[in-house]
Amino acid sequence: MSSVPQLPLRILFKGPSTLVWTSMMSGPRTDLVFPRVMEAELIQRHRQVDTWNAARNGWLTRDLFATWEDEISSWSPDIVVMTPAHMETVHAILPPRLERGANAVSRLPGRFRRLYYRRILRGLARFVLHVQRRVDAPGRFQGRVKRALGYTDEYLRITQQVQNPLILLLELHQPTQKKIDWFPGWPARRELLNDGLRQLADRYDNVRFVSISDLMGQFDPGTPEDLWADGIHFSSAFHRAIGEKLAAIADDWAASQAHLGGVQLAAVPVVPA
Amino acid sequence: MSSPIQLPLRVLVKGASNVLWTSMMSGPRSDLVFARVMEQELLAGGRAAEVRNAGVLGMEIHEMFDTWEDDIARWSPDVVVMAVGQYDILHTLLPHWLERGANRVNRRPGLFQRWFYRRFLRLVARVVLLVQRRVDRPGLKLDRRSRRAIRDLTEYIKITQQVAHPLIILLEVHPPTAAKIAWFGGWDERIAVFNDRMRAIAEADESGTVRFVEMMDLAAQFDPGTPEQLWADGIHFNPDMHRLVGQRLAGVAEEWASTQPHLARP
Repeated sequence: MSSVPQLPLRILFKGPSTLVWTSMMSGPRTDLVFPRVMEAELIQRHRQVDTWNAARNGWLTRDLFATWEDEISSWSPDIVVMTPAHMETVHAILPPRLERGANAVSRLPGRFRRLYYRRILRGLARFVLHVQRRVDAPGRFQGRVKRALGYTDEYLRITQQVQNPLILLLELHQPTQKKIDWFPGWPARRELLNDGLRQLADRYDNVRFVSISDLMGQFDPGTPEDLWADGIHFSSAFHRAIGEKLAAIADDWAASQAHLGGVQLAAVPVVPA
Repeated sequence: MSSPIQLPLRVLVKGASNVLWTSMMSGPRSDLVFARVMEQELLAGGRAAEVRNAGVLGMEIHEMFDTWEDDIARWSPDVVVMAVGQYDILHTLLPHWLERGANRVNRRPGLFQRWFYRRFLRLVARVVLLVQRRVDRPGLKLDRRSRRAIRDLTEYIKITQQVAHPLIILLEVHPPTAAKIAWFGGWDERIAVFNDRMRAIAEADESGTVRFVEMMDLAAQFDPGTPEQLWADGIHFNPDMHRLVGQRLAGVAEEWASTQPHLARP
Protein backbone atom coordinates (compact mmCIF):
# COMPACT_ATOMS: atom_id res chain seq x y z
CA MET A 1 0.00 0.00 0.00
CA SER A 2 1.26 3.47 -0.89
CA SER A 3 2.18 5.69 2.06
CA VAL A 4 1.36 8.85 0.06
CA PRO A 5 -2.35 9.70 0.38
CA GLN A 6 -4.00 9.23 -3.00
CA LEU A 7 -6.37 11.58 -4.69
CA PRO A 8 -9.69 9.73 -4.29
CA LEU A 9 -11.18 8.10 -7.36
CA ARG A 10 -14.53 9.85 -7.89
CA ILE A 11 -17.40 7.68 -9.10
CA LEU A 12 -20.85 8.94 -9.99
CA PHE A 13 -23.84 6.61 -10.33
CA LYS A 14 -26.83 7.62 -12.44
CA GLY A 15 -29.94 5.55 -12.90
CA PRO A 16 -33.36 4.54 -11.57
CA SER A 17 -34.34 2.31 -8.64
CA THR A 18 -32.13 -0.57 -9.83
CA LEU A 19 -29.22 1.33 -8.22
CA VAL A 20 -30.91 1.89 -4.88
CA TRP A 21 -33.37 -0.98 -4.37
CA THR A 22 -32.87 -4.69 -3.60
CA SER A 23 -35.11 -7.74 -3.94
CA MET A 24 -36.48 -7.79 -1.39
CA MET A 25 -36.24 -4.62 0.66
CA SER A 26 -36.21 -4.28 4.49
CA GLY A 27 -33.18 -6.58 4.82
CA PRO A 28 -30.16 -6.15 7.12
CA ARG A 29 -27.50 -3.44 6.66
CA THR A 30 -25.31 -5.95 4.83
CA ASP A 31 -27.75 -5.95 1.87
CA LEU A 32 -25.60 -3.53 -0.08
CA VAL A 33 -26.53 -2.15 -3.48
CA PHE A 34 -23.83 -2.44 -6.14
CA PRO A 35 -22.57 1.17 -5.87
CA ARG A 36 -21.69 0.52 -2.22
CA VAL A 37 -20.24 -2.92 -3.02
CA MET A 38 -18.06 -1.25 -5.64
CA GLU A 39 -16.87 1.29 -3.06
CA ALA A 40 -16.12 -1.47 -0.53
CA GLU A 41 -14.27 -3.53 -3.14
CA LEU A 42 -12.11 -0.61 -4.23
CA ILE A 43 -11.25 0.22 -0.62
CA GLN A 44 -10.29 -3.45 -0.18
CA ARG A 45 -7.89 -2.94 -3.07
CA HIS A 46 -6.38 0.04 -1.20
CA ARG A 47 -7.90 2.53 -3.59
CA GLN A 48 -9.09 5.84 -2.11
CA VAL A 49 -12.59 6.35 -3.40
CA ASP A 50 -15.35 8.92 -3.25
CA THR A 51 -18.70 7.71 -4.58
CA TRP A 52 -21.93 9.58 -5.21
CA ASN A 53 -25.03 7.53 -5.85
CA ALA A 54 -27.27 10.06 -7.61
CA ALA A 55 -29.90 7.51 -8.61
CA ARG A 56 -33.62 8.18 -8.08
CA ASN A 57 -36.64 5.92 -8.08
CA GLY A 58 -38.43 6.22 -11.41
CA TRP A 59 -35.60 8.27 -12.90
CA LEU A 60 -35.99 9.18 -16.56
CA THR A 61 -33.11 9.66 -18.97
CA ARG A 62 -34.24 13.16 -19.92
CA ASP A 63 -33.55 14.19 -16.29
CA LEU A 64 -29.82 13.71 -16.95
CA PHE A 65 -29.46 17.30 -18.10
CA ALA A 66 -31.04 19.05 -15.11
CA THR A 67 -28.28 17.88 -12.74
CA TRP A 68 -25.37 17.84 -15.20
CA GLU A 69 -23.73 21.01 -13.91
CA ASP A 70 -23.61 19.83 -10.29
CA GLU A 71 -22.68 16.26 -11.01
CA ILE A 72 -20.34 16.50 -13.98
CA SER A 73 -19.15 20.06 -14.44
CA SER A 74 -18.62 20.88 -10.74
CA TRP A 75 -17.83 17.49 -9.23
CA SER A 76 -15.97 16.16 -12.28
CA PRO A 77 -16.12 12.41 -11.61
CA ASP A 78 -13.41 10.10 -12.91
CA ILE A 79 -15.92 7.35 -13.61
CA VAL A 80 -19.65 7.55 -14.38
CA VAL A 81 -21.67 4.35 -14.02
CA MET A 82 -24.98 4.68 -15.84
CA THR A 83 -28.08 2.59 -16.34
CA PRO A 84 -29.89 4.88 -18.78
CA ALA A 85 -33.33 4.32 -20.27
CA HIS A 86 -34.33 1.43 -18.01
CA MET A 87 -37.61 3.09 -17.05
CA GLU A 88 -38.36 3.95 -20.65
CA THR A 89 -38.27 0.29 -21.70
CA VAL A 90 -40.87 -0.85 -19.17
CA HIS A 91 -44.02 1.10 -19.97
CA ALA A 92 -45.62 1.60 -23.34
CA ILE A 93 -48.22 4.25 -22.56
CA LEU A 94 -48.33 4.79 -18.77
CA PRO A 95 -47.22 8.39 -18.19
CA PRO A 96 -44.04 8.50 -16.07
CA ARG A 97 -45.53 11.14 -13.79
CA LEU A 98 -48.49 8.91 -12.99
CA GLU A 99 -46.22 5.94 -12.36
CA ARG A 100 -44.04 8.02 -10.04
CA GLY A 101 -47.06 9.37 -8.18
CA ALA A 102 -48.73 6.01 -7.74
CA ASN A 103 -45.56 4.27 -6.50
CA ALA A 104 -43.95 7.12 -4.53
CA VAL A 105 -42.42 5.79 -1.33
CA SER A 106 -41.67 9.01 0.49
CA ARG A 107 -45.18 10.38 0.92
CA LEU A 108 -46.35 12.53 3.79
CA PRO A 109 -48.91 10.68 5.91
CA GLY A 110 -52.45 11.98 6.26
CA ARG A 111 -55.98 10.76 5.61
CA PHE A 112 -56.54 12.86 2.49
CA ARG A 113 -53.14 12.01 1.00
CA ARG A 114 -53.72 8.33 1.73
CA LEU A 115 -57.03 8.46 -0.08
CA TYR A 116 -55.55 10.39 -3.01
CA TYR A 117 -52.47 8.20 -3.52
CA ARG A 118 -53.80 4.76 -2.61
CA ARG A 119 -57.25 5.01 -4.11
CA ILE A 120 -57.37 7.64 -6.83
CA LEU A 121 -53.82 7.68 -8.23
CA ARG A 122 -53.20 3.94 -7.88
CA GLY A 123 -56.66 3.16 -9.25
CA LEU A 124 -56.00 5.34 -12.27
CA ALA A 125 -52.53 3.85 -12.82
CA ARG A 126 -53.96 0.34 -12.53
CA PHE A 127 -56.58 1.14 -15.14
CA VAL A 128 -53.95 2.48 -17.56
CA LEU A 129 -51.79 -0.59 -16.87
CA HIS A 130 -54.64 -2.89 -17.90
CA VAL A 131 -55.15 -0.94 -21.13
CA GLN A 132 -51.38 -0.97 -21.70
CA ARG A 133 -51.23 -4.74 -21.24
CA ARG A 134 -53.75 -5.15 -24.04
CA VAL A 135 -52.10 -2.82 -26.54
CA ASP A 136 -48.43 -3.56 -25.84
CA ALA A 137 -46.70 -6.11 -28.07
CA PRO A 138 -43.16 -6.97 -29.19
CA GLY A 139 -41.86 -4.36 -31.61
CA ARG A 140 -44.40 -1.70 -30.61
CA PHE A 141 -44.02 1.50 -28.59
CA GLN A 142 -40.28 1.91 -29.11
CA GLY A 143 -40.30 5.71 -29.40
CA ARG A 144 -39.50 6.31 -25.73
CA VAL A 145 -36.44 4.08 -25.90
CA LYS A 146 -35.17 5.73 -29.09
CA ARG A 147 -35.62 9.19 -27.55
CA ALA A 148 -33.85 8.04 -24.39
CA LEU A 149 -30.94 6.75 -26.47
CA GLY A 150 -30.76 10.18 -28.14
CA TYR A 151 -30.60 11.84 -24.71
CA THR A 152 -27.87 9.42 -23.65
CA ASP A 153 -25.87 10.16 -26.80
CA GLU A 154 -25.98 13.92 -26.14
CA TYR A 155 -25.14 13.39 -22.46
CA LEU A 156 -22.08 11.31 -23.39
CA ARG A 157 -20.96 14.00 -25.81
CA ILE A 158 -21.13 16.88 -23.36
CA THR A 159 -19.75 14.81 -20.48
CA GLN A 160 -16.66 13.87 -22.45
CA GLN A 161 -15.77 17.56 -22.62
CA VAL A 162 -15.09 17.46 -18.90
CA GLN A 163 -11.73 15.70 -19.15
CA ASN A 164 -13.04 12.46 -20.62
CA PRO A 165 -14.19 10.39 -17.65
CA LEU A 166 -14.61 6.64 -18.08
CA ILE A 167 -18.33 6.00 -18.64
CA LEU A 168 -19.73 2.55 -17.98
CA LEU A 169 -23.11 1.75 -19.51
CA LEU A 170 -24.68 -1.17 -17.72
CA GLU A 171 -26.65 -3.77 -19.66
CA LEU A 172 -30.37 -3.91 -18.93
CA HIS A 173 -31.25 -7.33 -17.50
CA GLN A 174 -34.06 -9.49 -18.83
CA PRO A 175 -37.45 -9.31 -17.14
CA THR A 176 -39.07 -12.19 -15.27
CA GLN A 177 -41.88 -14.13 -16.96
CA LYS A 178 -44.42 -12.52 -14.65
CA LYS A 179 -43.34 -9.08 -15.78
CA ILE A 180 -43.42 -10.11 -19.45
CA ASP A 181 -47.08 -11.07 -18.94
CA TRP A 182 -47.74 -7.50 -17.84
CA PHE A 183 -45.40 -5.78 -20.30
CA PRO A 184 -45.35 -7.91 -23.49
CA GLY A 185 -43.21 -5.42 -25.43
CA TRP A 186 -40.55 -5.07 -22.75
CA PRO A 187 -38.12 -7.81 -23.97
CA ALA A 188 -38.03 -6.29 -27.49
CA ARG A 189 -37.50 -2.80 -26.08
CA ARG A 190 -34.74 -4.20 -23.87
CA GLU A 191 -33.00 -5.64 -26.92
CA LEU A 192 -33.32 -2.31 -28.71
CA LEU A 193 -31.83 -0.50 -25.72
CA ASN A 194 -28.91 -2.88 -25.22
CA ASP A 195 -28.07 -2.74 -28.94
CA GLY A 196 -28.23 1.06 -28.82
CA LEU A 197 -25.98 1.23 -25.75
CA ARG A 198 -23.49 -1.12 -27.40
CA GLN A 199 -23.38 1.14 -30.46
CA LEU A 200 -22.84 4.22 -28.30
CA ALA A 201 -19.98 2.47 -26.51
CA ASP A 202 -18.39 1.67 -29.86
CA ARG A 203 -18.72 5.28 -31.00
CA TYR A 204 -16.99 6.94 -28.03
CA ASP A 205 -13.44 6.26 -26.85
CA ASN A 206 -13.98 6.28 -23.10
CA VAL A 207 -17.40 4.65 -23.01
CA ARG A 208 -17.77 0.93 -22.28
CA PHE A 209 -20.78 -1.36 -22.37
CA VAL A 210 -20.72 -3.64 -19.33
CA SER A 211 -22.60 -6.92 -19.71
CA ILE A 212 -24.15 -8.43 -16.60
CA SER A 213 -25.84 -11.46 -18.20
CA ASP A 214 -22.58 -13.41 -17.92
CA LEU A 215 -22.73 -13.08 -14.12
CA MET A 216 -25.91 -15.15 -13.97
CA GLY A 217 -23.91 -18.35 -14.52
CA GLN A 218 -22.30 -17.89 -11.09
CA PHE A 219 -25.62 -18.64 -9.41
CA ASP A 220 -27.75 -21.73 -9.09
CA PRO A 221 -30.36 -21.74 -10.59
CA GLY A 222 -29.39 -18.30 -11.90
CA THR A 223 -32.81 -17.50 -13.30
CA PRO A 224 -34.28 -14.00 -13.35
CA GLU A 225 -36.85 -15.22 -10.80
CA ASP A 226 -33.97 -16.09 -8.46
CA LEU A 227 -31.72 -13.08 -9.08
CA TRP A 228 -34.33 -10.31 -9.20
CA ALA A 229 -37.26 -11.84 -7.37
CA ASP A 230 -39.48 -8.75 -7.53
CA GLY A 231 -39.06 -8.71 -11.30
CA ILE A 232 -36.80 -5.66 -11.56
CA HIS A 233 -34.40 -5.14 -8.64
CA PHE A 234 -31.35 -7.30 -8.04
CA SER A 235 -30.96 -9.57 -5.00
CA SER A 236 -28.17 -8.52 -2.65
CA ALA A 237 -26.02 -11.43 -3.94
CA PHE A 238 -26.38 -10.22 -7.52
CA HIS A 239 -25.72 -6.63 -6.46
CA ARG A 240 -22.48 -7.96 -4.97
CA ALA A 241 -21.49 -9.70 -8.19
CA ILE A 242 -22.11 -6.55 -10.24
CA GLY A 243 -20.26 -4.35 -7.74
CA GLU A 244 -17.24 -6.66 -7.83
CA LYS A 245 -17.16 -6.67 -11.63
CA LEU A 246 -17.41 -2.88 -11.81
CA ALA A 247 -14.75 -2.44 -9.13
CA ALA A 248 -12.33 -4.61 -11.12
CA ILE A 249 -12.91 -2.48 -14.25
CA ALA A 250 -12.57 0.77 -12.28
CA ASP A 251 -9.38 -0.32 -10.50
CA ASP A 252 -7.83 -1.48 -13.74
CA TRP A 253 -8.61 1.85 -15.43
CA ALA A 254 -7.55 3.96 -12.42
CA ALA A 255 -4.16 2.24 -12.42
CA SER A 256 -3.51 3.80 -15.82
CA GLN A 257 -4.32 7.34 -14.62
CA ALA A 258 -1.37 9.38 -13.37
CA HIS A 259 -3.49 11.69 -11.23
CA LEU A 260 -4.94 8.76 -9.27
CA GLY A 261 -1.75 6.84 -8.68
CA GLY A 262 -0.46 8.65 -5.62
CA VAL A 263 2.35 9.97 -7.79
CA GLN A 264 3.28 13.56 -8.53
CA LEU A 265 2.62 14.89 -12.00
CA ALA A 266 6.15 16.12 -12.39
CA ALA A 267 5.84 18.30 -15.50
CA VAL A 268 5.31 21.54 -13.57
CA PRO A 269 7.53 22.80 -10.72
CA VAL A 270 6.13 23.09 -7.20
CA VAL A 271 5.35 26.70 -6.32
CA PRO A 272 6.16 28.11 -2.88
CA ALA A 273 3.22 29.70 -1.05
CA MET B 1 -6.21 -0.27 18.02
CA SER B 2 -6.28 1.79 14.83
CA SER B 3 -4.25 5.01 14.64
CA PRO B 4 -6.05 8.36 15.19
CA ILE B 5 -7.46 10.09 12.14
CA GLN B 6 -7.15 13.82 11.34
CA LEU B 7 -10.18 16.04 11.11
CA PRO B 8 -10.19 16.86 7.37
CA LEU B 9 -9.53 20.44 6.31
CA ARG B 10 -12.70 21.57 4.56
CA VAL B 11 -12.16 23.76 1.53
CA LEU B 12 -14.98 25.36 -0.43
CA VAL B 13 -14.25 26.75 -3.89
CA LYS B 14 -16.69 29.30 -5.31
CA GLY B 15 -16.55 30.76 -8.78
CA ALA B 16 -17.88 30.65 -12.31
CA SER B 17 -16.55 28.61 -15.23
CA ASN B 18 -13.00 29.67 -14.37
CA VAL B 19 -13.01 27.10 -11.52
CA LEU B 20 -14.52 24.35 -13.70
CA TRP B 21 -13.28 24.74 -17.24
CA THR B 22 -9.85 24.32 -18.84
CA SER B 23 -8.39 25.68 -22.08
CA MET B 24 -9.15 23.66 -24.00
CA MET B 25 -11.79 21.21 -22.88
CA SER B 26 -12.11 17.49 -23.81
CA GLY B 27 -8.58 16.72 -22.59
CA PRO B 28 -7.47 13.66 -20.60
CA ARG B 29 -8.47 13.02 -16.96
CA SER B 30 -5.14 14.38 -15.77
CA ASP B 31 -6.20 17.89 -16.91
CA LEU B 32 -7.22 18.82 -13.38
CA VAL B 33 -8.80 22.13 -12.41
CA PHE B 34 -7.09 23.96 -9.57
CA ALA B 35 -9.59 22.81 -6.93
CA ARG B 36 -8.63 19.19 -7.54
CA VAL B 37 -4.94 20.02 -7.75
CA MET B 38 -5.32 21.72 -4.38
CA GLU B 39 -6.87 18.56 -2.92
CA GLN B 40 -4.12 16.44 -4.45
CA GLU B 41 -1.39 18.70 -3.07
CA LEU B 42 -2.89 18.80 0.43
CA LEU B 43 -3.24 15.02 0.49
CA ALA B 44 0.30 14.56 -0.82
CA GLY B 45 1.49 16.74 2.06
CA GLY B 46 -0.22 14.42 4.54
CA ARG B 47 -3.13 16.77 5.25
CA ALA B 48 -6.57 15.14 5.32
CA ALA B 49 -8.64 17.39 3.10
CA GLU B 50 -12.09 17.61 1.64
CA VAL B 51 -12.34 20.07 -1.25
CA ARG B 52 -15.80 20.93 -2.53
CA ASN B 53 -15.86 22.67 -5.88
CA ALA B 54 -19.13 24.62 -5.84
CA GLY B 55 -18.46 26.48 -9.07
CA VAL B 56 -21.37 27.17 -11.39
CA LEU B 57 -20.99 28.06 -15.07
CA GLY B 58 -21.77 31.75 -15.50
CA MET B 59 -22.20 32.37 -11.76
CA GLU B 60 -22.56 35.93 -10.56
CA ILE B 61 -21.57 36.92 -7.03
CA HIS B 62 -25.14 37.62 -5.91
CA GLU B 63 -26.04 33.98 -6.67
CA MET B 64 -23.72 32.85 -3.87
CA PHE B 65 -26.30 34.07 -1.38
CA ASP B 66 -28.78 31.46 -2.63
CA THR B 67 -26.52 28.60 -1.54
CA TRP B 68 -24.96 30.29 1.51
CA GLU B 69 -26.89 28.17 4.01
CA ASP B 70 -25.78 24.90 2.39
CA ASP B 71 -22.25 25.97 1.57
CA ILE B 72 -21.29 28.00 4.62
CA ALA B 73 -23.73 27.70 7.53
CA ARG B 74 -24.30 23.95 7.23
CA TRP B 75 -20.99 22.67 5.88
CA SER B 76 -18.87 25.26 7.69
CA PRO B 77 -15.71 25.14 5.56
CA ASP B 78 -12.33 25.99 7.08
CA VAL B 79 -11.14 27.68 3.92
CA VAL B 80 -13.24 29.47 1.28
CA VAL B 81 -11.52 30.13 -2.04
CA MET B 82 -13.38 32.81 -3.95
CA ALA B 83 -12.36 32.96 -7.60
CA VAL B 84 -15.15 35.39 -8.35
CA GLY B 85 -15.82 38.64 -10.16
CA GLN B 86 -14.45 37.80 -13.58
CA TYR B 87 -17.85 36.99 -15.01
CA ASP B 88 -19.67 39.78 -13.13
CA ILE B 89 -17.58 42.48 -14.74
CA LEU B 90 -17.38 40.93 -18.21
CA HIS B 91 -20.61 42.15 -19.81
CA THR B 92 -21.93 45.66 -19.52
CA LEU B 93 -25.20 45.21 -21.46
CA LEU B 94 -25.83 41.55 -22.26
CA PRO B 95 -28.38 40.19 -19.77
CA HIS B 96 -27.19 37.28 -17.63
CA TRP B 97 -30.12 35.02 -18.57
CA LEU B 98 -29.52 35.59 -22.27
CA GLU B 99 -25.81 34.80 -22.03
CA ARG B 100 -26.51 31.67 -20.01
CA GLY B 101 -29.24 30.53 -22.38
CA ALA B 102 -27.20 31.10 -25.51
CA ASN B 103 -24.11 29.31 -24.19
CA ARG B 104 -25.77 26.55 -22.19
CA VAL B 105 -23.90 23.24 -22.45
CA ASN B 106 -26.38 20.84 -20.84
CA ARG B 107 -29.28 21.18 -23.23
CA ARG B 108 -31.64 18.34 -23.98
CA PRO B 109 -31.45 17.43 -27.68
CA GLY B 110 -34.46 17.97 -29.86
CA LEU B 111 -35.42 19.79 -33.04
CA PHE B 112 -37.19 22.70 -31.36
CA GLN B 113 -34.57 23.10 -28.62
CA ARG B 114 -31.85 23.08 -31.22
CA TRP B 115 -33.54 25.80 -33.26
CA PHE B 116 -34.44 27.89 -30.22
CA TYR B 117 -31.00 27.81 -28.56
CA ARG B 118 -28.64 27.60 -31.51
CA ARG B 119 -30.45 29.90 -33.90
CA PHE B 120 -32.79 32.24 -32.08
CA LEU B 121 -31.20 32.80 -28.67
CA ARG B 122 -27.64 32.87 -30.02
CA LEU B 123 -28.64 35.33 -32.71
CA VAL B 124 -30.27 37.69 -30.19
CA ALA B 125 -27.20 37.40 -27.93
CA ARG B 126 -24.93 38.17 -30.86
CA VAL B 127 -26.86 41.32 -31.73
CA VAL B 128 -26.65 42.55 -28.13
CA LEU B 129 -22.94 41.69 -28.08
CA LEU B 130 -22.33 43.82 -31.15
CA VAL B 131 -24.11 46.77 -29.56
CA GLN B 132 -22.22 46.15 -26.32
CA ARG B 133 -18.92 46.11 -28.21
CA ARG B 134 -19.62 49.63 -29.43
CA VAL B 135 -20.51 51.09 -26.06
CA ASP B 136 -17.96 49.24 -23.89
CA ARG B 137 -14.87 51.45 -23.85
CA PRO B 138 -11.95 51.97 -21.46
CA GLY B 139 -12.67 54.36 -18.60
CA LEU B 140 -11.80 53.60 -15.01
CA LYS B 141 -15.26 54.35 -13.65
CA LEU B 142 -16.93 51.08 -12.72
CA ASP B 143 -20.32 50.37 -14.24
CA ARG B 144 -23.41 49.42 -12.24
CA ARG B 145 -22.77 45.67 -12.42
CA SER B 146 -19.19 45.98 -11.18
CA ARG B 147 -20.20 48.21 -8.27
CA ARG B 148 -22.90 45.74 -7.34
CA ALA B 149 -20.39 42.86 -7.53
CA ILE B 150 -18.09 44.60 -5.04
CA ARG B 151 -20.99 45.42 -2.73
CA ASP B 152 -22.24 41.79 -2.82
CA LEU B 153 -18.77 40.38 -2.26
CA THR B 154 -18.23 42.60 0.78
CA GLU B 155 -21.55 41.51 2.28
CA TYR B 156 -20.88 37.82 1.54
CA ILE B 157 -17.54 38.00 3.33
CA LYS B 158 -19.17 39.73 6.31
CA ILE B 159 -21.87 37.10 6.80
CA THR B 160 -19.43 34.25 6.15
CA GLN B 161 -17.09 35.47 8.87
CA GLN B 162 -19.91 34.97 11.38
CA VAL B 163 -19.52 31.22 10.88
CA ALA B 164 -16.39 30.80 12.98
CA HIS B 165 -14.14 32.91 10.76
CA PRO B 166 -12.96 30.63 7.97
CA LEU B 167 -9.90 31.67 5.99
CA ILE B 168 -11.26 33.53 2.95
CA ILE B 169 -8.99 33.61 -0.08
CA LEU B 170 -9.78 36.17 -2.76
CA LEU B 171 -8.10 35.06 -5.95
CA GLU B 172 -6.76 37.72 -8.29
CA VAL B 173 -8.74 38.03 -11.51
CA HIS B 174 -6.45 37.48 -14.50
CA PRO B 175 -6.37 39.88 -17.45
CA PRO B 176 -8.05 38.98 -20.74
CA THR B 177 -6.39 38.10 -24.01
CA ALA B 178 -6.18 40.71 -26.79
CA ALA B 179 -8.95 38.92 -28.68
CA LYS B 180 -11.28 39.35 -25.71
CA ILE B 181 -10.30 43.00 -25.22
CA ALA B 182 -11.35 43.59 -28.82
CA TRP B 183 -14.84 42.45 -27.82
CA PHE B 184 -14.98 43.87 -24.29
CA GLY B 185 -13.13 47.18 -24.50
CA GLY B 186 -13.37 48.18 -20.86
CA TRP B 187 -12.98 44.75 -19.30
CA ASP B 188 -9.24 45.03 -18.76
CA GLU B 189 -9.63 48.19 -16.71
CA ARG B 190 -12.61 46.85 -14.81
CA ILE B 191 -10.50 43.85 -13.81
CA ALA B 192 -7.71 46.13 -12.55
CA VAL B 193 -10.15 48.15 -10.44
CA PHE B 194 -11.88 45.01 -9.19
CA ASN B 195 -8.54 43.53 -8.09
CA ASP B 196 -7.69 46.78 -6.26
CA ARG B 197 -11.01 46.66 -4.44
CA MET B 198 -10.45 43.02 -3.42
CA ARG B 199 -6.97 43.89 -2.18
CA ALA B 200 -8.46 46.74 -0.15
CA ILE B 201 -11.08 44.43 1.38
CA ALA B 202 -8.34 42.01 2.48
CA GLU B 203 -6.17 44.79 3.93
CA ALA B 204 -9.07 46.36 5.79
CA ASP B 205 -10.02 43.09 7.47
CA GLU B 206 -8.98 43.25 11.12
CA SER B 207 -9.34 39.55 11.84
CA GLY B 208 -6.57 38.61 9.39
CA THR B 209 -8.69 35.86 7.87
CA VAL B 210 -9.22 37.49 4.48
CA ARG B 211 -6.32 37.23 2.04
CA PHE B 212 -5.87 38.45 -1.47
CA VAL B 213 -3.81 35.88 -3.37
CA GLU B 214 -2.02 37.08 -6.47
CA MET B 215 -1.29 34.66 -9.23
CA MET B 216 -0.11 36.72 -12.18
CA ASP B 217 3.50 36.23 -11.02
CA LEU B 218 3.03 32.53 -11.78
CA ALA B 219 2.83 33.36 -15.48
CA ALA B 220 6.58 34.16 -15.40
CA GLN B 221 7.30 30.45 -15.00
CA PHE B 222 6.15 29.85 -18.54
CA ASP B 223 7.64 30.83 -21.83
CA PRO B 224 6.27 33.13 -23.24
CA GLY B 225 3.77 33.25 -20.34
CA THR B 226 1.28 35.38 -22.23
CA PRO B 227 -2.47 35.27 -21.61
CA GLU B 228 -2.81 33.75 -25.09
CA GLN B 229 -0.72 30.79 -23.92
CA LEU B 230 -2.01 30.36 -20.37
CA TRP B 231 -5.71 30.85 -21.04
CA ALA B 232 -5.91 30.17 -24.73
CA ASP B 233 -9.69 30.47 -24.98
CA GLY B 234 -9.44 33.94 -23.45
CA ILE B 235 -10.84 33.11 -20.02
CA HIS B 236 -10.07 29.62 -18.67
CA PHE B 237 -6.63 28.46 -17.49
CA ASN B 238 -4.80 25.73 -19.31
CA PRO B 239 -4.04 22.62 -17.18
CA ASP B 240 -0.49 23.78 -16.33
CA MET B 241 -1.73 27.10 -15.02
CA HIS B 242 -4.49 25.33 -13.08
CA ARG B 243 -1.76 23.20 -11.51
CA LEU B 244 0.30 26.19 -10.43
CA VAL B 245 -2.70 28.02 -9.00
CA GLY B 246 -3.77 24.87 -7.15
CA GLN B 247 -0.30 24.42 -5.70
CA ARG B 248 -0.18 28.01 -4.52
CA LEU B 249 -3.61 27.81 -2.90
CA ALA B 250 -2.70 24.51 -1.25
CA GLY B 251 0.37 26.19 0.20
CA VAL B 252 -1.68 29.08 1.63
CA ALA B 253 -4.30 26.69 3.03
CA GLU B 254 -1.70 24.37 4.58
CA GLU B 255 0.17 27.25 6.21
CA TRP B 256 -3.06 28.51 7.79
CA ALA B 257 -4.28 25.02 8.76
CA SER B 258 -1.06 24.34 10.65
CA THR B 259 -2.01 27.19 13.04
CA GLN B 260 -5.47 25.79 13.80
CA PRO B 261 -5.77 23.55 16.87
CA HIS B 262 -8.82 21.70 15.56
CA LEU B 263 -6.85 20.65 12.47
CA ALA B 264 -3.73 19.54 14.33
CA ARG B 265 -2.18 16.32 13.06
CA PRO B 266 -2.38 13.44 15.56
